[in-house]
Amino acid sequence: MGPDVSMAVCCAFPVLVSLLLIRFAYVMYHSGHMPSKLSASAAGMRSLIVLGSGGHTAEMMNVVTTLQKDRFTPRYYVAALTDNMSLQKAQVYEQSLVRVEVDKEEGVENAQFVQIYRSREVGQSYITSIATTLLATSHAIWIIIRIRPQVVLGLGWSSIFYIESIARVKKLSLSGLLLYKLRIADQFFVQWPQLQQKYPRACYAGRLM
Amino acid sequence: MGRGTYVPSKVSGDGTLQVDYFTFSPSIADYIRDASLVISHAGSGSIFETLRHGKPLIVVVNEDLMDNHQSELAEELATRKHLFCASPQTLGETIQEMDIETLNPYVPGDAKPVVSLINKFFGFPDD
Repeated sequence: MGPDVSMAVCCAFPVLVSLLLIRFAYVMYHSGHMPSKLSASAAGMRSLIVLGSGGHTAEMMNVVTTLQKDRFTPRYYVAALTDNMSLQKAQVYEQSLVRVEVDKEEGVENAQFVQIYRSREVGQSYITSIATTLLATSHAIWIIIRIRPQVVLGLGWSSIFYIESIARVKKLSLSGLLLYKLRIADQFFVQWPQLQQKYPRACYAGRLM
Repeated sequence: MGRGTYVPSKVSGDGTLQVDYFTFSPSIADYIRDASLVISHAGSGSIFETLRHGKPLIVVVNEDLMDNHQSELAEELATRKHLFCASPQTLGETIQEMDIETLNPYVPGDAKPVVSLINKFFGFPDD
């Protein structure tokens, strides 16, 4: 599958940083209270789904296939510009939904696919990654302002669900650690019980893979 | 191969081993299904795809990665006896000494509990 697991961090990190900034401004503006509870009758919630690459995309797609698609719609999938596999997988899945639900007029309009600059390629030097991270972060901020997601899977806007990758057994990733320490995520999932013991505010609800 | 400059040969030294290679295949699952042993890098995609097919797996950890977490997953799954874990230096030894009978089958995970908690958060009924 994907060439490297650490790529997910490089894709997710700019999204995370911009989300932190925007969330901070938003929380300041609304003096603390987020509209987190929605009634079951509410229309679908705009969902941003952040795809890593390789195995991380498979993990996220396991969540997406299990989600109730009418509640979490429209869905905006984000993946790195240099990752030509992840969006393709999401597209194949969304097209399979269209075939199943032809009568319901549910179409590909319910799913949009967005590519994002990557903050660091595998093997890229630490010095040059500062510039590429800045570029990737501004691009991520632009995408989030444009989409204004209500739910972000991976990392979030008004409701944040962060799922630490199954590859993280003993310690959190950089994105995960930031979200955990700053208490940004509404729900923070890990996929190994020993990781939950180390980070007690995390939630262990089994493995995705 | 990949971003490197090394080009492998399709014939082994004495011609007894049939070698094939590709940079990318959309149907890697077919190759895994046909294999009796899979040797792979420690990426979670490759690991779980192989385990899902119930094939014996040796994972070779890439030791050159930034914030090396690849070894975490490989070591955890090796401790649980779902696969064998090796480094480029110990791979030969691992192949010689491994006993495939000692491996435990991997029971795949399930996204339902996570999705059910997300739904609960929004006040959606669980179904």
